[in-house]
Parts: sequence; structure tokens; C-alpha cells
Amino acid sequence: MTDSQTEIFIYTNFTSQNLTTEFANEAQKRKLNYKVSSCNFNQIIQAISSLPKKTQNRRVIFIITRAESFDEFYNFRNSIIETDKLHSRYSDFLEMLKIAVNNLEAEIHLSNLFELGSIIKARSNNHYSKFDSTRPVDQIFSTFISNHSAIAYLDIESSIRELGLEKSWNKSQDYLFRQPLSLELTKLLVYRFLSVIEIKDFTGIKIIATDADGTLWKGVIGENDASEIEVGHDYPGRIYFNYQMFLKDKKENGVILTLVTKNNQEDVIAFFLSRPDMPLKLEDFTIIKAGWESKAKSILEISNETNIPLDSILFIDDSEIEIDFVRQSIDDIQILLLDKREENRELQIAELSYKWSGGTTFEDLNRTDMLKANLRRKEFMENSDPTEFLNNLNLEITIGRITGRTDSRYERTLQLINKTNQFNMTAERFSSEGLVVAIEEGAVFYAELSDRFGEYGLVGVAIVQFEDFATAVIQNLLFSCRALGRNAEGIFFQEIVKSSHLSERDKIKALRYQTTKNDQTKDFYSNFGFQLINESKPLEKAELYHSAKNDISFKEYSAKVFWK
Amino acid sequence: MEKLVKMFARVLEVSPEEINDLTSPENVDVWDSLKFMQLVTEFEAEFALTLEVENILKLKSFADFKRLLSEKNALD
Repeated sequence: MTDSQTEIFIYTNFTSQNLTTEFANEAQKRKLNYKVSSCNFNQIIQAISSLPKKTQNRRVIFIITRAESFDEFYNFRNSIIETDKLHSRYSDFLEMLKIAVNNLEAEIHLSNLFELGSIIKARSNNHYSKFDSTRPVDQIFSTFISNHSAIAYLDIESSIRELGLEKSWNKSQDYLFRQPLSLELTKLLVYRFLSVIEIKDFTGIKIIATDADGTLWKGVIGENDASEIEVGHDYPGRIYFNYQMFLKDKKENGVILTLVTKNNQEDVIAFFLSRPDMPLKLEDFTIIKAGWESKAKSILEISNETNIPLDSILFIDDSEIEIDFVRQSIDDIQILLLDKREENRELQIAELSYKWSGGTTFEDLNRTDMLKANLRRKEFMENSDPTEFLNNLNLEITIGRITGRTDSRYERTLQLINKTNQFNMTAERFSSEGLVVAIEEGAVFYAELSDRFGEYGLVGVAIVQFEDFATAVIQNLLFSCRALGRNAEGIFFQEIVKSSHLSERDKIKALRYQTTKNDQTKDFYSNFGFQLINESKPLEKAELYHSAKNDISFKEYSAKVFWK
Repeated sequence: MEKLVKMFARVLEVSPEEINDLTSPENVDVWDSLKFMQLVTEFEAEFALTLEVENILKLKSFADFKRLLSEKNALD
């Protein structure tokens, strides 16, 4: 376990003391190491702007706005507000938010509260209802979110509808303290926030490790007859059937399925064979860990065998004890505790699917094949000495430049930038917009790798900016961890430096930030003869390396390089 | 009653022995508007009540909270 903490910021433009307190209490009850902060009334932008851009911790920010809490509307409660003014106030707010969150290392969830309030008499084109006046604002939110991949929209108004307005809105406290959330709504929001936090970096999930009894089906295969185990089209079997369908869909989109269950292996196999009516078949699981060892141990073995880091594994179970044990044992793992009330699982799965609906890349779709190639590669490596291994690997590297958002490699490049941790010089994350700017103002290079065992796909990215006619700055260099150990990252780097793209620049600078996970990049630039110079942002722990091109000590490698 | 004393002590960050009927912003330094809001929020949460504005405005001391509780028949 590491000492890293999760920092939670609940920023609202209304008083939400109760929400912060309830969140902290619930987190403590669940033994979660969360530090919770709030901001002063109507100080969302100021509070976000004052956060350091980089952090060693995981940082999650929940922002909730409410029209009538913006200063200019507060004194107009129950009077008529022009829709245009509402529209313009929200546009200004979102514009400022965009600037405040630029390059900020954080997961940001934005919500709005129209339901809970009385700013309902806004006027536009002879419409006098809240719905008509707030709809244009909904559209601004929707456009804003779709243009900012780093910000997610959390629909908390659905919680209000679920609870009912009367139970959600504490009108007395709203009038007296500008604190509108009722205790019931506060508790519901805390539950929603905690669910959101538990599922982190969702697009980076490569493996699902699922439990079996009570998760894939209702019943216990060691105790019930196969015919008594429920998976099917009627309740409650339908809940389990849908969960299996969800897993099947994930598998078809490149996620590796593994089964982690406390059962005898032969019972599991026999059960699958006896129930061909289930969506999932035995062969859908790349790895099955059945036995009586701890599930944490099984997951660690899966990570080792597949060479996929623990933070890319999602463990799903219906048992709070198992979830707690895995959470306590493996710091980076992502977990999902299925609701005890089966009828709530549909919503959980729907939310999972919704959050997972990002683009899929070649690498995602071919992950199972790539994993099989990697297992063969591993076997070959174990039976060769290191030099022989590299010489006989027939490594081929294809390097090229990303041309823009429509480039077929664009999505994968963005994905790799935002999820690579270990070999990542700065760990700086990019929004889609930010990457387009980097491409237009500088150059973004990719590296694709293959060897005698198969394709690795796009595994390396370098972001280069041109400081002036003489100097190129390597803003970031990153390489997928599954392609490390073949010197390919070094070949990629020196090929870019030697290439005609940088040929006019005789000085090269390179940037590196120390993070908790990128230790292995520590000596990379020095090994090429770069000197560390100490002229850059000391507070951000930046290291700036520097070398004249002629002084770089290029190395000999045994690999074929192709430029596209 | 004990629950109310404990809640007051927790919010005002004093020992339960220091809480009595006269406890009010007049004699507790930390009892400012923010603490008052917290007292009301915790009071509602602890006793599962939703207070009306006029009730909240009458809450000037511990004794007032206690009286309101008896009116609402929520004393333990």
C-alpha cells in the first residue's frame, strides 16, 4: 500500500456544508483515505484556479452549479429572469471553467441543479415555464461537455426526480443559509459521488476480473444443482443474464475477461458445460482462477501473467468482504461492488456501459490476440539470454507523425497519452483539444511495434515543440509498459532526434517530471548524454535536460526502423 | 436529551459538560453564523426533522433547541 491519498473537492456555488460533512463521514465509515474540501460561497472558479496543476495524489472535483445562486440572480428569486441572461451567465461560467481546468490534473464531474430552485419564471418568446427557460442552458452544458473529454457530466437531477422535489429541497435552509439540499438528497448524492470515485480512469480498463456465484448467476454452484442456478429471461435470472451480456460486449470490444472464484475448478468447468443457454461460455475467459486462495492473490497472478498493470484491472464482486479485502490488499485496483438489491444492478451496469462508451482502437479490439502473442514472447524470453532474445526478436518499429484529429491513429495516441504511467516523462494528460493544439503548433510522433510473435500496435508517443529555429523541446515521451524491455523507446527517441523533422534544430531540450510511478524514466535522457539544467519551474519538480545535437550519444540497436 | 448535548458539544467543539440551557452565541466564541447553520443541519439530521423558517429563526440558545425538540416530541 502507498501513502497516496485521494483528494475530493466538492465545489458548489451554493452552501453545501452538509454535503461535505456527510461525504467525509461516509468515507470514514467505509475506511476510505479521502481528504475532502469545499469552497467558499460562489467561489468555484477561484477555488479551482488556485489548485496546483500537478498532484501526486488522485484528485476528483465535483462541481455543482445552481442558477439562482449566481450573485446577479440571487436577489431576483421569484421574479422574471430573461432566458438570454441565464444563457449568457452560464456561458461565461463555462468559459471561465474551461480556462481554470486547462492542464489541471483532475477528474472533473460537472452537475447543475435546475430542479431544485425557484428561478422558474425566466422568460423567452412567450414561454413562462422553468422547463422552457432552462432548456437552452442544458444545451450549453451538453455542448461544453462534448467538447471537453476531461470533464464528465453527472446528472444529479435524476436523483432529485427519484426522491421527489419535496424530499430533496430543504426550503427553510435554502432561504436562511442558501443551503438547498435536504438530508435525504445529500445522502443520495454522497452515494452517487462515491460510486463515481470508485470507478476511476475507466477507459483504461483492460481486464475484468469477475466473481462467479452471486455475480454471474444467482446461486452457488458448489451447493445448488445446475438447474437451480438462475440465469435467464425471468426475474431474477434476467439481472444476471444482462450482466453476462455486458461482459460479452466488453470482450468483443477488446477487454480481457478473467474469472476469479472461490470454487473447485472442475465444478466451474462442469457448470459452464451444463448451461449452454448462458451468454458467456468457458472460452470467453482468457484466465480462470478457481480455488480457495485469496482473490487478491489471484488478481496479482493475473496481472503478472498478462503483464497488465493492476490499475487496468476492474474487479467485480457482490461480496462486500471480498471487495474490502481486495481493496485493502491491492492499492491500485479498480473495483465495483454489485448492489445487494439485484434490481439496482441494472442501473449500475447501465452506468458502467455509459462511462465505457468511449472510442475503441485497434489495440483495444485486438487485445486478446496481442495477449496471446505476449504469452508466447514471454516463454521465448524465459528460454533465451537477454542479448539473444533481442537479436532474435526481429523487432520492427514504424514511426510517423500524427496529422490531426482525423488521423486514424489519433484516438489511440490520445488514449496512450492519458493512461500511460510508468514510462511517461511528464505524465501530463491532454484533452482532445489540447492534443490538436500540440499537433498544430509542434509535432506529435507515434511508434508502432511488431516482432516475430505479432503486433504490439501503437505503443509510443513523443510530443515535440519548436522553441525557436535552433531549439526543439521534447515536451513528453511515453511508451506503453507492455512494449518496454526491448530498447524500442530508445530507438524511437533517437530516430526522432536524428530525423529530418528536427534536422534544422541543433539544440534539443527535453522535459521530465518525477511522479510516483515513472521512476524508470529517471536516467533516460542522461544515458543519451543530456545534461540536467535547473532553470525550470522548481515548484513543479520539473527537470529540464539539454544537449547540442552533436553531443548526443546515439546507440546501436538491432531493429528495423520504417518512417511513414 | 443526551443526544442533543453530544451534538452541540461536537459541533461547537467543547466538552458536553460545558453545554447548558444558557449556551448561546453570547457565551460561546465559536458560535458564529456558520456554526449555527451546522447546528441546524445536524439537528435536523440527528432527529430526522425538517424545520420551518420561523422555527429556525427562534433558535437562539441550547434551551431553544431543547424546547423545539419537546414540541416536536422527538426527545429521547
